[in-house]
Amino acid sequence: MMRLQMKKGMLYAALIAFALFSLMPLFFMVLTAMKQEGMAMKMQFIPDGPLETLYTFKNFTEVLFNKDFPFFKFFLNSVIVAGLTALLSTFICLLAGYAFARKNFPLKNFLFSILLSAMMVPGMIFMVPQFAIITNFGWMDTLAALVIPHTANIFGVFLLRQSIEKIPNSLFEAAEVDGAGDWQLMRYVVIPLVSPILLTLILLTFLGQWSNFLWQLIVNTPSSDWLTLPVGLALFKGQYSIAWEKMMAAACYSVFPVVILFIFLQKYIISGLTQGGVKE
Amino acid sequence: MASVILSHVEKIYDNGFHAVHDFTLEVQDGEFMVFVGPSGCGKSTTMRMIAGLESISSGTIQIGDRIVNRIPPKDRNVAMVFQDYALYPHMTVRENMSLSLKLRKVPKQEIEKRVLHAAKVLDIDHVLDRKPKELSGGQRQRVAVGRAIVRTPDVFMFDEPLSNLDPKLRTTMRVELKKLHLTLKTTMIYVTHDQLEAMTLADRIVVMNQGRIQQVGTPLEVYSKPANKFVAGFIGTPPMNFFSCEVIRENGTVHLKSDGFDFHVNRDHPLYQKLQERGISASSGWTLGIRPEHMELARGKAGENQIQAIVEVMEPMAPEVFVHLTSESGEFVLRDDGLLKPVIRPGQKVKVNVDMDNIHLFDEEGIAL
Repeated sequence: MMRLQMKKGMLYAALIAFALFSLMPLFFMVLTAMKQEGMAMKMQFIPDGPLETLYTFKNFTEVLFNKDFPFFKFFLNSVIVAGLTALLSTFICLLAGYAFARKNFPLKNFLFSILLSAMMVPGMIFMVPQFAIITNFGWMDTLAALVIPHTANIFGVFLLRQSIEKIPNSLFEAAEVDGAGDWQLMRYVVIPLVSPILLTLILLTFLGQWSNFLWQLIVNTPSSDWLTLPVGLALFKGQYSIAWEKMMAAACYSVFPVVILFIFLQKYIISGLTQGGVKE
Repeated sequence: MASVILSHVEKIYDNGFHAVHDFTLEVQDGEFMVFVGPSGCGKSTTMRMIAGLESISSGTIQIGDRIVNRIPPKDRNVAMVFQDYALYPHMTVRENMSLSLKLRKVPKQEIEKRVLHAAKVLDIDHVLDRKPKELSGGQRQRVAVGRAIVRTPDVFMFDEPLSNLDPKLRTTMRVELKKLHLTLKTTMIYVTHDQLEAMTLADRIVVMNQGRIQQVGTPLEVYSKPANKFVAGFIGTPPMNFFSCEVIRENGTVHLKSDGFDFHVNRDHPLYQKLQERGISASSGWTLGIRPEHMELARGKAGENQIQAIVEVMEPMAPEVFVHLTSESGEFVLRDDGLLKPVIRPGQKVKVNVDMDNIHLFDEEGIAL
């Protein structure tokens, strides 16, 4: 009994240590955001004199109301880009997953294998051709350039195909006999039954696009109306100095939507990610 | 309500497997038709072809006045109860039952009225707001039936709907389904591998084997006049006893002879007439079929058509007893009324009388004479 409790205690201690370790970047981000100008890179956490000599909250307000850094615009752009990409991409994955799972068409498995093989290729390789296409289309500095290339998500198609295939065939047949066509099958059978996977996919895509820096940087010129928060944060990097405190304060704000989304969708995400992993 | 006519329907799968051969049948309007046969005989495939869930390779299927070969399931106006019930797990009982009406854009008030009515008929009105996982097997089965009856389809189809229930509940639900048919008077097609279910529910039975119709008839017809050895062996519990024999016709009597017996069939017996019509005077390779209830322990009485046998096992089924015996002609079972007087024991030698009015004779191909 004693041994079991000790084992449990050690396990908890290890878990707490890991949790604290993972929170370190977040901790440094918050701490840096609260530091006085020029103090960010100093490894000083305890002030020599009064607290105000090292720490301040003014970075948080300055970031929000800075004429050179339109935080709200960047924030809104990020919400639109990440939100739209997440919704569009998941919708396309749902349709493709449904077609691959339920429909019979020539070369179905061959096409699916080709799609899967594309997953093995590093995404960076696609960046140059994608950039060339965007330029040819005249989409530089547009919302389309930020959203459309990321609506193709092979992992999402794979995930949804697997989930839809797991729905018992008799449910589809019952709905067909009940009078459902493809769209109604989707609405009344597929979407409710794969909703944890859909929400997981929406959240993962949202997270991916929320923190996407490189693509959003290369398809936006500095004068673009569609600069997003990650690209905006880079503006704090001047030629000779970096305003770390302000950058971190802005980064603190950028974390909020993700945390809120995660808190609300946590239940579904966990069930989505563990689906199929346990025998039901 | 509508009749269902299948003409020369075939089903060949892409891998070449021929599941259904030349299936021709007319299910009358309002009839309760049961497809029965062993697993893999093509009965479910045939039903699924009628529902439109499976394409047909050739032939025609007609529901009412319409040829439905190319009509999708949703437009065939049929309702189906599946073996695993196929209830939508995320919907309540009420939602499960009302979906088909909702998809057909029936007004909300009408949906509510019909769902309540069906729920009352099936005694599930107290579980309307529960999800399927909160229901017992019997309740789920009723919901599946309820989902079918809220509509007024031309044809109801049941694909082994009772096979997941325990024996007691199965008996209860069988009666419920029979009552339902009497109330609704709608055409019903029912698939089962359980011949007891087929016998008790059907107006007519289609016995199938290896994708082919073996016999179509009322339960009594298929039981008392099986078309072939397969039907004779499949319908009835315990199954019909079979004995290999040879037929010898001489001096106005037909002898059905084997190592263990020599039965006499007189001139006025229908079998005699049929053998005469075929001009058979002596031939081997025949099979004699006798149902267990058409054999009885001789109980000391001497008789003409008897088999000597040794009692092996007795199965008391209350109120009757199945007596398993072995003879020179092979093993067989007889059905006793349960009194078993005088008392017999395993190992005991007995004489068994055969009711010659109820014997069946099958030729080398297994076709009934």
